[in-house]
Amino acid sequence: MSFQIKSATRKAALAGLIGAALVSPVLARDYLLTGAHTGKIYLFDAATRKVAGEAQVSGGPIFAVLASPDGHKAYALTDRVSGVHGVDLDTGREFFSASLSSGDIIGKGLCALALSPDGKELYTVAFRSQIKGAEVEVLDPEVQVFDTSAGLNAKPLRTFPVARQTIQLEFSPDGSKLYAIGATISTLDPKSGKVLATLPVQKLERPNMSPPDMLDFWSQYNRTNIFVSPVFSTRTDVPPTDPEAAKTGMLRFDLVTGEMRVDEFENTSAVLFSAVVNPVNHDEIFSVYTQLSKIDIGGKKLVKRIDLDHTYYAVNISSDGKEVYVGGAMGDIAVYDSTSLTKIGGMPIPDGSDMSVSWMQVIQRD
Amino acid sequence: MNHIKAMNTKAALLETAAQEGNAEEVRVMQSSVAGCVTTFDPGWEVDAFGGTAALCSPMEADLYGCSDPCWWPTQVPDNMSTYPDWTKGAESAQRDWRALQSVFPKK
Repeated sequence: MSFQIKSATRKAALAGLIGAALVSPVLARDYLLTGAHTGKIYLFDAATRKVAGEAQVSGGPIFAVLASPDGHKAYALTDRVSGVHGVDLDTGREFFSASLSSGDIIGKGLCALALSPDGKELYTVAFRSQIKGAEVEVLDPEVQVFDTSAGLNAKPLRTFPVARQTIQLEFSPDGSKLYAIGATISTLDPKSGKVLATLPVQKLERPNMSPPDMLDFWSQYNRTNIFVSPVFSTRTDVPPTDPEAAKTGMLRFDLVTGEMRVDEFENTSAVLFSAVVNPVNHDEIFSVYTQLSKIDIGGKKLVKRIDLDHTYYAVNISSDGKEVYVGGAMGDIAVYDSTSLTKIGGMPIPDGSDMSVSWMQVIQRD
Repeated sequence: MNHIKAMNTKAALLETAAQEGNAEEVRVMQSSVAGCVTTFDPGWEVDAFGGTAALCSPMEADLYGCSDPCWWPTQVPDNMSTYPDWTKGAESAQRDWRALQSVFPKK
């Protein structure tokens, strides 16, 4: 990552940074935001490895969880994936809630949750079905948009159709585009829902390769604005029994430019669930399951792979790229040195509750 | 399909989908799960390599990850809709598995 500031403001900015450094020795402190099976949301201070905040959300296990731009509020998809809640991480107070269902139409969200960059609107996907006596009719899925200041029992500001199989929603950093990611990656106008562009994923055509198969449950891309997910493909120009036939790669989608690319880096030799790009070296990707893998995607090679204490679903990384966090599944976050992949710490969920499929985001607070 | 006849409405719909060329919508792990009985990827019995070494380890690590989103409703009770209280009071699968009970369809 790089940034530039003009010389006049640079001096002022540097003076401000020095002044702030004198007051606080740590700038841009990282926190980990995650949820647990108990319905609790936890905020961990990455530096001290201690709980810095927690809030109880009604409705059972936490699925998707993300933070407001200032890092003081959290929004979670819960209620057996049929509702979203907002809580204040400083006070624990619930200030927002909404059901994805309406009347006899049941809405289930699974794990698509996104906040507009200004924090004013919350977006989720509702997979809907209507109960009709003895039968259930499957309806088209839709994006439901909520005003985050609407309080409890909020109703959607607006809805618009979205592709079936959409599992993730991500915003461009400037808020002008909403990406619906799943069997395709659709670029949507977040106000109207108009489809501006569509990229194939499930039907991606490449010479001598099957379409990539992708699992993506965990949104953990806010440090880089690069969506990345392990993908599995099969070469069609060699027999299925050939060790070269099954390939593992990474699908990357740039949330700034809207560009997508898929790069294979090894013959499939391990299961990978989720991945994250190093914010200080975009060629470096970390991926997790029962092993932690470090991948040089620029060189298209596996750099190192270690066994973990148990299976983890989610992976994230500190803003300086030095620490890798693995979480989800059971009840702890483990910390690894990003260079050596040596375990250097841990953050257990206080009551031992499983994290299950909860997201684990690295955030910063104003 | 020439020797198989749809016996109910749902089967007929599936047959129609196949005839219209929409069978490709069903893929192994494509991020498309939205409710029960749409997930057929192997996992609890055999891993992607035909063995068991690449299954989640220990199996308790994956238990609620499967029951919460109704991932494998045949193998694991469905926490999403049918058995929402199956894990109540047993928030750590590894620590509390003894409290988990068998489930039976309601009559």
